[in-house]
Amino acid sequence: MMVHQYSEQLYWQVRRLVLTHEDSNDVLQNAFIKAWSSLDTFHGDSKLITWLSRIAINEALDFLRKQKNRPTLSADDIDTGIANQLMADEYFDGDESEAQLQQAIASLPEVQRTVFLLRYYDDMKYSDISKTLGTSEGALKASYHIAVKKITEFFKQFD
Amino acid sequence: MGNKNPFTVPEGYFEQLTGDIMSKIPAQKEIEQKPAMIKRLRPLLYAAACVCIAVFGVVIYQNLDRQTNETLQGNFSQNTGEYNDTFIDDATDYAMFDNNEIYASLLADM
Repeated sequence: MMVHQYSEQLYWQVRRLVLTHEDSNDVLQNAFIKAWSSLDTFHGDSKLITWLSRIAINEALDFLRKQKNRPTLSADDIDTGIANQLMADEYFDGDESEAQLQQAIASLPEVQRTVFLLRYYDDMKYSDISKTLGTSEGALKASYHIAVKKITEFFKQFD
Repeated sequence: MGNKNPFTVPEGYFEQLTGDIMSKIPAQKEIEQKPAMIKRLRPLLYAAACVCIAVFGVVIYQNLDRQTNETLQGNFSQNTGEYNDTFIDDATDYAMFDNNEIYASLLADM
């Protein structure tokens, strides 16, 4: 029931962070397994979807940290190659500028990146993002504005 | 460039996703429950082991006690029997000797 109701919404949150379908699928399944095994720690203080989002986003960020720490790939390779990788991905339907946007988002620090994605694609309220990430609304607003500024500067280099 | 989702998924992915996740969740739960169950039962197992040791100890102590009593009683009655039959008679006879009889007995041995 819980899986059926929320899996699609959580999948897209994870996918925008992780970018590839295969990795997103693995991350989402791990997130649900973690949620299931710690279900007794959910006391209903927040909405179930908020709690699940927090688990899924943390799982996705953990995955990205491990990927960056892999000795075969440098952080620069990951950041600069993202647009090219997306253009070659059969499950990416965007044009080149959308691939560049994903690359710009991927180069942001974790919190700025997560806040930007949740605001830009999910149109989530700051109050809900605050509950999901456990960060104050003021800090989230600041992070979002810095993220927008950085992305704008990223695109200026192509003008 | 709008904020539309540029990503796609394989056809029928979301229909299959719930089943895929559900097939993994019970197996994982079962694996995690086994050590938890042993952990929960560990104090009970320790208590049961202590009770067994205590009962075993009491049974052994009682058996040893009974055997010791029987042995002592056997020895006492055996010894008492000897005193009655031989030793006490000899002692009584010896105690009834007077000096003259002792001298006579000594002279007779010479």
